[in-house]
Amino acid sequence: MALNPAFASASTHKLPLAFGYVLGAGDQVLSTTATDGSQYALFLLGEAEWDGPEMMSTFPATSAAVGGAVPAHLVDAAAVVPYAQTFTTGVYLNSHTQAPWFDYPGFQWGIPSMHFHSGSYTPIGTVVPTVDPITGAIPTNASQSVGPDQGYDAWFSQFPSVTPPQSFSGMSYVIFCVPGNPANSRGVTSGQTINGVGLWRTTRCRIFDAYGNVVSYGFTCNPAWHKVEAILRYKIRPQQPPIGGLTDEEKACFDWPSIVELAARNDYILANGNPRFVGNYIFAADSTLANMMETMCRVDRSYQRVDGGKIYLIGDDARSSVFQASAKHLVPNSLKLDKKDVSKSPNQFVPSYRDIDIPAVAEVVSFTRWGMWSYRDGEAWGLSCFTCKTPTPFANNSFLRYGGGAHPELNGVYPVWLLGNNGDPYPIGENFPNNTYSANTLPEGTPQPTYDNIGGYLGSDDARFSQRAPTNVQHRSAQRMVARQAPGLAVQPTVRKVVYDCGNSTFDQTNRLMKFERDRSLGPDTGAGWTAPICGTLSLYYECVDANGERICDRRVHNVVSIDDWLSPEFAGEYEITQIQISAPTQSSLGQIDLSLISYYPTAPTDVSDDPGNYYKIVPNTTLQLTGFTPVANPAWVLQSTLQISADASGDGRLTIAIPDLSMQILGKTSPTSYPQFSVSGIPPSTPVALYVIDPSGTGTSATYGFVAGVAAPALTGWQLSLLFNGTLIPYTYPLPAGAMLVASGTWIAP
Amino acid sequence: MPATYAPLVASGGCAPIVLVEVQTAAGNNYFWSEHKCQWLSILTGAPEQFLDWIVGTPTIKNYGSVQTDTASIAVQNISGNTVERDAAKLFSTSEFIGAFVVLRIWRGDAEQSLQTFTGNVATAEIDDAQLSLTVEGFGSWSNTPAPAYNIDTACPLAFGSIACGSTAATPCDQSYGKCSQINRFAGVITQWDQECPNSQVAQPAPIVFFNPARPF
Repeated sequence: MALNPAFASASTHKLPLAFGYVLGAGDQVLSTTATDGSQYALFLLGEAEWDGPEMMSTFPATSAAVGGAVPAHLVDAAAVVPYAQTFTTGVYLNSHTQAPWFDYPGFQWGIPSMHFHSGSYTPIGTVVPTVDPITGAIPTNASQSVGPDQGYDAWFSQFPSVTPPQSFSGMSYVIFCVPGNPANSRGVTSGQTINGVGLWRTTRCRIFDAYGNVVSYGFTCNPAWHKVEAILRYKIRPQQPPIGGLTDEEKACFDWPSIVELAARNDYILANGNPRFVGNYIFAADSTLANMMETMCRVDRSYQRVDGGKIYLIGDDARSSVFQASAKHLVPNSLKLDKKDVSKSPNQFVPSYRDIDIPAVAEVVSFTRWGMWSYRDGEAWGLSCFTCKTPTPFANNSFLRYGGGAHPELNGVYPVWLLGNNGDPYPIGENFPNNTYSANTLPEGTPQPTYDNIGGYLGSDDARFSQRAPTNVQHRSAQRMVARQAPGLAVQPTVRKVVYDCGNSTFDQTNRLMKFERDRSLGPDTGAGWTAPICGTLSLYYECVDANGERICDRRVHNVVSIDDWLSPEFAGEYEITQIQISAPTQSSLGQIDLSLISYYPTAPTDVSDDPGNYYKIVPNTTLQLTGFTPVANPAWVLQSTLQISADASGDGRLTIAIPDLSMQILGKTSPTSYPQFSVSGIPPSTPVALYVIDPSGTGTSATYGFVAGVAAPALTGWQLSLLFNGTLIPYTYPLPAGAMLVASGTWIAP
Repeated sequence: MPATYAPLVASGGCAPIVLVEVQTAAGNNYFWSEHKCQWLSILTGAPEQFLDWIVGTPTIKNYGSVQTDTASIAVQNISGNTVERDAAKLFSTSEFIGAFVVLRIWRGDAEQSLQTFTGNVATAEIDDAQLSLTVEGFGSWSNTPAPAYNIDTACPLAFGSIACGSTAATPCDQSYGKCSQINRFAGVITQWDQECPNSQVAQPAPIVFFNPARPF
């Protein structure tokens, strides 16, 4: 299935289902410029529930509006990169206010903000903030969400009133805002464009134990859980909260031990420090579950099988023969073995993927930090210089990533500043083509070292998710299976390419996958003496039992069977079953099993990848986190919640909120839990608070209820270079007690 | 040989038979085998009488890919009365398409299924001699649209599903206007993609007014 990074389907617009990390901007459905010049844009991302943004694109911005006595070249270095797709793990910053621009603790005006909504179901009973056409007001206590819940977003007020507020229940979405340019008069558009591109941590998945019980829930890159989630969503439990547990009948649709084993096998950490297999993909095209399963099974080198009404997910790893076929088992004249026709078989195996690692563009020789001076707020400016073996391609206003050198403390992101050629006050740039400089803020007292022979590599987060298709996995032996075409002519190897979509992945993983595809289909590339695999069919009597007491009727596709010398002296060996046809025994027939076989090569599955060479080398220590994610704490979706708000008995204006219809889907429960007794008093009006339930049993029988006041997010102080944002706007945080499930958050008044 | 395995007929055990259970979408159950026999049903959980209707050799095909496994079953269309044949009557009065099928290759002496195939009827054909069913296995991934939802003005949710949440008596027509649970409406009607002043865009006020004081 083709990736669709922009999520923009060519035909029908499908709400994508994504797993792992994906890059893109979603499907833009709303865009407007408010009267103050602020721009808003809403992008639908995918099916719920996404985990959040990992890195965000910076927005086109200008450095012209910066103020202060900052040297011009530092302004350039500090300004947000004026390119569409630039990523950074820069400091958390989200502060959409209407404050004057100079209140922003950064250089650039118009620091963008975002409201990310994860995509849970909107609680039934949520008050829609529909604008009254007469008063222009919205109903009292109407939803004004800033995310990540699925209330009605507060920024809907910025859109023309002909667009009714929507909560996009079950859809993950994001609204961006870029405040207007204060240099312009109000009402004049800022002229910026919101591209909305982000690197997203997508769908949270349920994690199961070997009995089919949900044990946790959260973001994961493990394809085993992706497959289970996709099957549950589209085949077993459609249109139900994807945090629910399974009934006994639903559990019985899966063979859980095989799935848990596959998940553990995928999570196994290889020598390179990464999990054996991860999956990152977005399915945005109008397609079927077969396409999803095929991609996901390819990516973790596994297969699925349905046996006895149960879905098995099994790793395609080295395995032993489980049946020894002999002459006495054979249905007469049914053995038809042949060489695989390699004259048209692919012999070059190309993975198509977007690289989640950062390509290395230059090898570092030395590092020097110099030219520091104190500026203000206790910070200092420093210039760093990476001397490389070759010139680097970085442009001013971009960012570079360094990693893998002898001094890990230097690993990180650096804003690029290119030397000019006037020599004042810095060296002439063209005289030092292999030097790449950066300007950073550093605490005072930061050492100014010079490290020779430091090693490491430079790259750019911009290059993360580059489209890759390495062609190094080839079967040279099969390519040479072309004899001379005429006496005296040289043999001309024939290359036939096959391309496999591997989603978003790494060179290491895709290389191992392609080596498996190659060796499984053609055998090891042994050079001289290589012969094509044997394939063919044979039929065995349904009830035959081998010398070890194994029954052929118990064998399944992908099992390995042996053919002994009695059955075929020439083709004795191990074969993998690729297809089975069973003709059941009846009163008129003994019954038989027709097997399609191909030579089995136990060395095909490998955990060792080839040397990536210079072209596919990555910047070390910059890999995204691929495993070990923290599960969501106390996950629960509020399905129904009609707030009944009234003044409480204190008489001081505080509120009582009761929710007689409160219904929550708690992780792992097969059905929602009701809390008709929910009632909390003493809530201060017009104050951010969060309502919660504590119910360890999840049954609603001994629940306790309460609220906590919101804690304002810490104000940003001082100023920093490259102020970028990474996260959703959360003006308040709510310190929920242990075990609490969030019911609602907001500010309420007595109606 | 594993202790739990009864000997196969080649080793002195009894011959396996085929048990087929069919449950139509309307809820009708049919139990067929090669012999008249009574065995515990998977569908009902109770002993059921299996009729000796199966003819020919039922076959099962398993693929090593995401291709759907299939099974073929034929039952006789000979028995009946002087007017109607049994299978033809079932064929005409029931709907077999989509029916749930459990096919077992059954070891009676061990009360063990050697092979269990589950799926749904994809095609049903009848002639003078037999009723033939083609069954697609449970892992029929290619029959399942995915992703399932369009980004469209029409809500993709099934009325009354948990995701929909509506408990209204009247089903909707998937439109925003007829939605009885707006909080869960999953269509996308707010397609507003232009730079525009924040002002009402609506039909202008009429220039000819109806005068309620005017006598008719």
